[in-house]
Amino acid sequence: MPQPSTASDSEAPHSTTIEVTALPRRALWGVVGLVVLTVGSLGLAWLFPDMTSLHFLWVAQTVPVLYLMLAWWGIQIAHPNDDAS
Amino acid sequence: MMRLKSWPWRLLLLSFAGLVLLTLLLLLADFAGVPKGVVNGFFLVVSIIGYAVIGMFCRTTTPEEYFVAGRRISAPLNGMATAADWLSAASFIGLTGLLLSDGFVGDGQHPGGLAYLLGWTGGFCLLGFLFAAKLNLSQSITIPDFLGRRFDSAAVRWLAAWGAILCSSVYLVAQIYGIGLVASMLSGLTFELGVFLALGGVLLCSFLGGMRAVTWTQGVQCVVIVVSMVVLGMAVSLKTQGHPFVTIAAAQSLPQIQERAKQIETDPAELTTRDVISLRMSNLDVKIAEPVYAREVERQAVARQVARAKAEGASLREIQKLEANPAWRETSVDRLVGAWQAEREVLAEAIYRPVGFQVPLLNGWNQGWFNSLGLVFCLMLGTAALPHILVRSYTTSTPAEAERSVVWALGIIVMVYLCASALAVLLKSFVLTELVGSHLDQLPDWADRLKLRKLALLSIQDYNQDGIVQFADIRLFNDYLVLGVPEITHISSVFTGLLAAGALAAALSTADGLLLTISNALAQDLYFQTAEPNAPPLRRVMLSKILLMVVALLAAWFATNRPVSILFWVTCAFSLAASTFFPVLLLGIYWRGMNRVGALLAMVSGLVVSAYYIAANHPWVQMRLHLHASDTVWLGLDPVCAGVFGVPAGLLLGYLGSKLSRSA
Repeated sequence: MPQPSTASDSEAPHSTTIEVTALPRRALWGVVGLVVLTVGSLGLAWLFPDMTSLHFLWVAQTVPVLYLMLAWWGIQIAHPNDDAS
Repeated sequence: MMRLKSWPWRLLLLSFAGLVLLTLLLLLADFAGVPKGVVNGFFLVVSIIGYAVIGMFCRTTTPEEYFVAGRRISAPLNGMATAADWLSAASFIGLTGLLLSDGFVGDGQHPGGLAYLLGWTGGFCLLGFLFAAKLNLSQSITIPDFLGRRFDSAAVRWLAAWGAILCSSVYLVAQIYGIGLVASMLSGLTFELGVFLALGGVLLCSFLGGMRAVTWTQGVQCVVIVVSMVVLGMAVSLKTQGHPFVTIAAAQSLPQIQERAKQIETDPAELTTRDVISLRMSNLDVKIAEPVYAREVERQAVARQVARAKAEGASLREIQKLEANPAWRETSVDRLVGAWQAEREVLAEAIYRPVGFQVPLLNGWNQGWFNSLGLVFCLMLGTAALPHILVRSYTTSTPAEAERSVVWALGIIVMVYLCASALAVLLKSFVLTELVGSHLDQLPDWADRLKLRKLALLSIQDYNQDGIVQFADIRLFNDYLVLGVPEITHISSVFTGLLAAGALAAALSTADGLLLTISNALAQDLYFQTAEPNAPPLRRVMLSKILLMVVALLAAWFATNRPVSILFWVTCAFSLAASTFFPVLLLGIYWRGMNRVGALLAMVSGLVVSAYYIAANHPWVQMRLHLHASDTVWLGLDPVCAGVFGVPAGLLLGYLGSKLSRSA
C-alpha cells in the first residue's frame, strides 16, 4: 500500500561518519584463498589441456561450490554494530 | 514482527507453487495439442502481469522505502534479490552457449568459458569480504553518496555518479536487447514491440515502488530463474541418461563427446572445409588491404552474374541474393571494409573454436591463458564494484545481514551455473552426434526448426559443397542458444516457455536494478546535490521516477536501433566498473590516507584507461581512425580485459594523488 511521506523521511544530512578500518584478517585470508584457488584451478586446466573431465568436474562444478564455502567462512566475523541496529 | 518476517516467505512459496502449477497445466495443454505459441505466450503474459502486480502492490513514495527498501530486508530475501539482479541476460541465457561454443579453456588465443564461470562467481567472495558490511554500515543511499560522504566532496560524488551512469547504461542496453529477444521469441511479436512490451513490466515495477518493489519482484524472479534452469537441467538429464542428476549426466556424456570430437578433428571432409574457409579468409585479407580496387573487381563480377541470372530467368530471390553482396550494396568504402571484417570474424570463429571443449594440441602457457586470467580479474573485481549490485548492501538491517545476503546470492548463482555448465556438455553431444555428419537435405528436425525460426539460433553454410554438414559449417548463436535447448533435446515445448520465462526474469530483474541505479544517480547525486539540496522528499522520489522512465525509453530506443553483442557489452561494463569503483572503494574503505584528490584521480584514471582500451580496439573505431590491432592491443589482451590496465592505474594514481596532495 502507498505510504505517506513524513517529516522524518526527509533526506536529512547523515549523522554517521564513514569509519576507515584495517582489513580484517579473515577477509584478507579469504582474498588470498580466492586467488590461490582461482589461479591454481585455471593453471591445472592449462597444465592438462586434454583432460576435459578435470575441467568440467573440478573447475566448472567444484570450484564454484568451494567459492561458496570460502565466502561463508570469510564472513564469520562478529560485527560490533549489529547489536546497535 | 512475526507477520513481517513470514510474509516474504509466503510470497516466495506462493510464487514457487504457482510456477510449478502453471508448468504442470501447460504440460497438460501441450499434451492436449494446444499450439506452442499459445503455451509460450501464456508464460510471457503471466510472468509480466505477475511482476507488475507485485510492483503495484509495493508502490511507495517514501524515500527510505523507494531508495533502500526501508533497510529491513532479510539476508535470504536480499540474497535472492541480489542473485536475480546479478543473473542477467548475458549470464543466464549466454553462459551455456558460451561454454558450448568456446569450450572450457578456449582456443589458445581468447578466454574460454571457464574464465566467465569463475569470474562471475568468485567476485561475490570479494564483495562479501571487502565491501558489503562497510557499505551497509554507512547508511548511504547510493554508491556516489557513500563516496561523497567518505571524502566529504561534492566533486567525488558527482564524478562517481557519472561513472555509475556510464557502467550501468552499457549494461542496461545489453539487457534490454536481451529482453527484446526473449519477449519477441515468446510472443511472436517483432523485436521492437517485444522490447516495449517487456519494458512496460519493468517500469510498472520499478517506477511505482522503487527498491521496495524491485526487491520483492526480484525475489519472485529469482524463484523463476532457479526453477526454470534446474527443471530444464533435470529434464534434459532424464532424457539423455535416464536420471535427473544433470552433473552426473554431463560427466557420463563427456567420454563420448571426446571420442566424437577426435573423429571430427581428423575427418578429411572437416579438414577440406577448414581449408576452404582459410582460403576465403585470405581473399578477404587481400580485399581489406585494397578495398577500392577490390570493390570494382567484385562489382563487375556481380554485375555479370546478375545479368546472366536475369537472362536465364532466375527467380527474384536468387537475384536478390547476388545483389546482397556488400561490394554491390555498400557505397561507402568504410562500411564495405566493415562488412568484410565482420565476415572474416565469422569465418575465423568457424575454424578456431574447439570441436570438443578445447582445441587439440593446446600446450603451454599461451595467450589464451593470459586472456583468461585477465578476464577473471576483471569479472571478479567488476562484480564487487558494480553499482547496482553494491547498492543491495544498503537494503539489509545490519552489516552481518548484508554479508550473509552475499553468501545467499552466491549459493543461488552457483546452483544456476552448475546447471548451465552441465547443460553445455549435454548440448554438445547433440550437436556432435546428431548434426555433424548429417546430410543437408536430411537435417535433424530440431536443426531445421532452429534455422528457420524468426530468431535464428543456428545457421549452416556448406563451405566445401559436399552436401554434408561439417563442424566448421555450423554457426551457433551463443548469446541465446540456450532458448533452443528443449527443441534440441526433444523435451516438451513447455520447457521453452519455462526457460524463456526464466530468461525474461533474469533480464527484467537486472534491468530493474540498473534503471534504479541510473535514475537515482541522476536525481539524487547530480540534480538534487547541485541544484536543489533542500528539496522535499516527495519531490526527490517523483523526479527519480520520471528520470527512470526517461532512461528506460532511451535505452529501449538505443537497443532497438542496432544489434548488440550482449556478452561483449556486459563484459565491458564489468571492466569499466572494476576500473572506476574498485580502487576508490578499496582505498577509501581501508586506507586512512586516501583523500579526495586521490579519489578523483583513482576514478578518472581507471575510467579513462579502461574506456580508451575498449574504444581503441573496437572494430568501428579502428576502421574510422585507420588503426590496426597491432598498434592498440596491449600485452595481447582482449578489449574486454580493459580492467587489467584500468584497475592498477586507479590504484596507483589514487595512492600517488593522496600522498602528493597531502605533502604539497
